[in-house]
Amino acid sequence: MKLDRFDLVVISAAAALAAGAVFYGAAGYGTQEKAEAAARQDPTVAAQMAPKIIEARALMNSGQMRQAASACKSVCLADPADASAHALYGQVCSRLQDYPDAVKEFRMCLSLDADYADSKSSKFIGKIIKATIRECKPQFMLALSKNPGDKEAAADMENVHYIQRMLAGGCD
Amino acid sequence: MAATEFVKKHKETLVAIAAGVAMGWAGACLACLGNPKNTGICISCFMENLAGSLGLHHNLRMAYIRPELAGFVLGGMAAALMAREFRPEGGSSPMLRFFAGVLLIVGCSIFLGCPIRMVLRLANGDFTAISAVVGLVVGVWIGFQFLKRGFYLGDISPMPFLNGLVIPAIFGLLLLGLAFRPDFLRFSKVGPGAMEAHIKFSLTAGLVIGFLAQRSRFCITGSIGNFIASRDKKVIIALVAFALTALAVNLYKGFFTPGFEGQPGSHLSYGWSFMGMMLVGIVSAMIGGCPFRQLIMAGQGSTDAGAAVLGMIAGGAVVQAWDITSSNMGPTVYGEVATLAGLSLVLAAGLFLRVRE
Repeated sequence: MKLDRFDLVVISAAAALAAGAVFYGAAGYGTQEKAEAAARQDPTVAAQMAPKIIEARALMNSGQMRQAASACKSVCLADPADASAHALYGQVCSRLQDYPDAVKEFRMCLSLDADYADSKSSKFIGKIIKATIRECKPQFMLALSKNPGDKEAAADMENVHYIQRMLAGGCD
Repeated sequence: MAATEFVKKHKETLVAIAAGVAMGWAGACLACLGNPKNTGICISCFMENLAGSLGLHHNLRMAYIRPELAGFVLGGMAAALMAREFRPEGGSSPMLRFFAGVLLIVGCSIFLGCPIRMVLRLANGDFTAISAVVGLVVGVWIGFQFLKRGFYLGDISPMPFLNGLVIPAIFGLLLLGLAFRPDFLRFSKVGPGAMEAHIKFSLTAGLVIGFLAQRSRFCITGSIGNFIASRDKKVIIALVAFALTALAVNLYKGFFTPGFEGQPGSHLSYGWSFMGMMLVGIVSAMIGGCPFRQLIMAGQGSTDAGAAVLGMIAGGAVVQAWDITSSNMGPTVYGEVATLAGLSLVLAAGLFLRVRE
């Protein structure tokens, strides 16, 4: 069988794409499993942390924000896959007007459990997050406009955009 | 009198425009009535919902039997029966078409939407879909290069009548399942699967669109392909009518939010959106229609399209169960590998299935 120019182009493209698939597969091998494992909660740790979250919530409700923040931080460090701890920590940071940490925590929370962005779920905190974003987005934008190379402000804006996509809904 | 003459003369174009308008109106309105944002109609999302409802994947947020799907198939069947175009036929590489159906959903899940949702996303002001439009056009162009050079999936032969009824019967049964909700079917309580317009709106929209699409041969990739191949404007007018109607409804309802950021069900990996939709474009050109067109053809008796539809259901299960589908953060490693491998396989198949003189 004689190959024409079209055949040769297609063979080269198919081979390059197959090589690309192998490369991406090899480069990313295990990363997805690692990410899934990191997002999986250890039930024993979760049980140990449950009273601390209740305590942190009580501290936040009584207005003791610094103590609440420190309690939330310790829970998030001990159990990074606990979406409820990140949700609470985000709210505390927001009240303390520590917006970079607030959006970081809200992003963590939503990426671990999308129910927090779902108005049909009892976990929904979308309105609180939206209020935070209304406050902080202009500040991040201002920081970026003053210094376009500001990596921290760029990362904050990226978190805001991710949260906005999550809150906007859609089928994914 | 002049009006009657005009309608007679331009009947096909008018039906095509009606199909486009119905699609645009329903696509925008179903999102207002409860379907997920920017997802009034999306064949790939709906297939993932269907696979979830049948228990074929584990994502409980994506489990629902969308009445629109049944509407498309049954509306297409009704139109074909009325026009005496219901012809059970097939036998043109059904296994390859099944696999093509899987790849269609893989490509769509990378971008987060089928070609119909791509247009709806643009009509909502989601500019992240622009790269997907370019990818789809390039894909269809590549597919047509194969067709021009003798790509052939085999002869289509008539089949016993019952064959043509299988896919419509399956979707009829799914409608019954939706109505009676037996325990073995799963339905989301939260997430996109729980976002639904009322059944009567969804089903009516599906039936009307299915009917008009069968009469007009409406197909997103077919419109692009025909325009590329023969500058045929008839079907591309339907596509333009679809986009403009959806845009008009969104502007009227205040849902037009132009920009790249904060768009529902989107990500910012433009390169992968391009690649995913390129895969969809090539596959659609090779099997003779986009995911939506496959449903309509299955309704009019094509068992080959039926094989592609079953492949799409399997694809809906695979992309969710194997984490191939993208998220708001972008594509996963598995999604990237599946896209590149899928493109490579499609090109290889195109090469092997060329009929040479």
